[in-house]
Amino acid sequence: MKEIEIQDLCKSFEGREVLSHVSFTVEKGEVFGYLGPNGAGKTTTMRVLLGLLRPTSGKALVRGSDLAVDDAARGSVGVLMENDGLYDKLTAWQNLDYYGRLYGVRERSERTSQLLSAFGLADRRHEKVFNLSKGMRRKLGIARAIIHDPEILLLDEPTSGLDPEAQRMVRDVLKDLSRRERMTVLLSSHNLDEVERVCSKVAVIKQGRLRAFDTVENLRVGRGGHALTLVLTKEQDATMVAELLRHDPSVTGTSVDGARVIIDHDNESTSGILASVVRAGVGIEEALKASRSLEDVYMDLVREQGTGA
Amino acid sequence: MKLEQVMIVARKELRELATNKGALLSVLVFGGLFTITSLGSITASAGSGGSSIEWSMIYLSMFIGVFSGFTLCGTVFFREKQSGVIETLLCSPLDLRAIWLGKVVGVAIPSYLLGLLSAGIMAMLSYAALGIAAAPSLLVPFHLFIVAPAFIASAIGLVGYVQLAMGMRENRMVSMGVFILLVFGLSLSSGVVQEDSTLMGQVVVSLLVGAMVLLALSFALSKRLDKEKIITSIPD
Repeated sequence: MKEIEIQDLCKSFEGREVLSHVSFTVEKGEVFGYLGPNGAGKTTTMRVLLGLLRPTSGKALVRGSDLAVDDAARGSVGVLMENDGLYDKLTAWQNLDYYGRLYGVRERSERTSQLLSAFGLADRRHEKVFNLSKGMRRKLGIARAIIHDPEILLLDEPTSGLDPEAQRMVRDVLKDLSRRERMTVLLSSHNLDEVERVCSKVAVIKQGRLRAFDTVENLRVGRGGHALTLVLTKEQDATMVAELLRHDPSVTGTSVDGARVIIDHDNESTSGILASVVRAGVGIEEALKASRSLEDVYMDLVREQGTGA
Repeated sequence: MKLEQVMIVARKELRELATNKGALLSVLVFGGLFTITSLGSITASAGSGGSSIEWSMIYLSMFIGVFSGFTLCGTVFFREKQSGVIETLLCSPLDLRAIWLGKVVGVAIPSYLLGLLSAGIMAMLSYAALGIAAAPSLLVPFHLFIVAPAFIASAIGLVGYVQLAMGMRENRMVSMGVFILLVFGLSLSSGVVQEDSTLMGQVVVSLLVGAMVLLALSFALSKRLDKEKIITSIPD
């Protein structure tokens, strides 16, 4: 049984299709990144998964259960949506205590203290939420989401509004939860650097359709894993170099930006490419070899036209 | 639906309302002003004596209770939806009706107590001002402890349902409509009693029947509450 299973999921609002045949699965203990531009359908997918919206067709299951009808199964899921889910007029402590009660947490007091300390909020525990900064509220929101030690955690932009230090702390908490507690995390985020650091697998969605679903490494390698950037001594040579390399089978793509030529290629062919350029009598000012980041892959995916996954 | 879950929500609403100075202040100011106005009209019509005070207690407890309920519903149902916090609550293991009922109980208790307090203060001052020593008839406690709480809770249940289920614009219009209808009903019954005070008993029984019908309607409607409807009517 998969921890999260989305199968051929479609969702329409008044005839407008928001999700179209989306399918992916998440395994136990995995930190899974769900990426896509604004309005791509990430939040709608999470809402269907949480039983807040009914699918038009297809299935969205958590540990084999439909959360729309299985109240008890919702108790094993922690959620942080765009809204922190906190009550402004209650204190940090009272908020955690309330959610602890809702989820039937035993030893609530200890758990609440432990979480407030872990998130650096122990000295603000009697402060009303409306007095806390956005970053503190977000941290308290994450603490709230894991108050009942869930098996599965669904997070929508968890680090938005957090400073770099707090972002790092959240990343460490997520890694720790996944590694030590085998907690499954579905992380919807725009922060590609964060996803690359934390997630083992990702799905990319655009306009309601899944564009990619694979491990981060496979996506990077599969879509031109390495890029060689050459800065030429003469700008007019750049087009000629791009043309020359077009016939090289190890080169998957080239682009020209002034005197700079960016060459996507497989990892083994760097020396051969450099040799061909030098043989052609082109002067090279600088050569820089780099792996493609998840951000490069993501930008390619969301810029691509068409509907294929 | 578990009673324990209902009470967790109700306790939290009570705690939150207790710290909401703005909402409490507006309810107390209105309640105080209305109590003083009622007191003035009773002492002006001193000839009608005890029955006038009795009806004022009945009317005031209902009117203040319904008004307070309507005001506090805005904080408990409407604002929670407007802010989007309701989404997180809907993801919890709680049944949707338990959430609704918990909130209704959380609003109904302070609203009823405020209604009761207003009626009590007004009665004490009126009896003292008119120098009447006789205790009120049994109709008054029957109303204060059975009819009024049922009526106030049913009104809050209806307004709460509307505020959860409808979009923000319809919400304001429909919940205001429900409130105006309730106040109109109360004023109508008041008019009947002022015409003929012997009809007070029949009016109280009619109010009880009305409260029962509204309670049944609230519970029937609460079964139709739908998470998708709530989520899709949260403003962006």
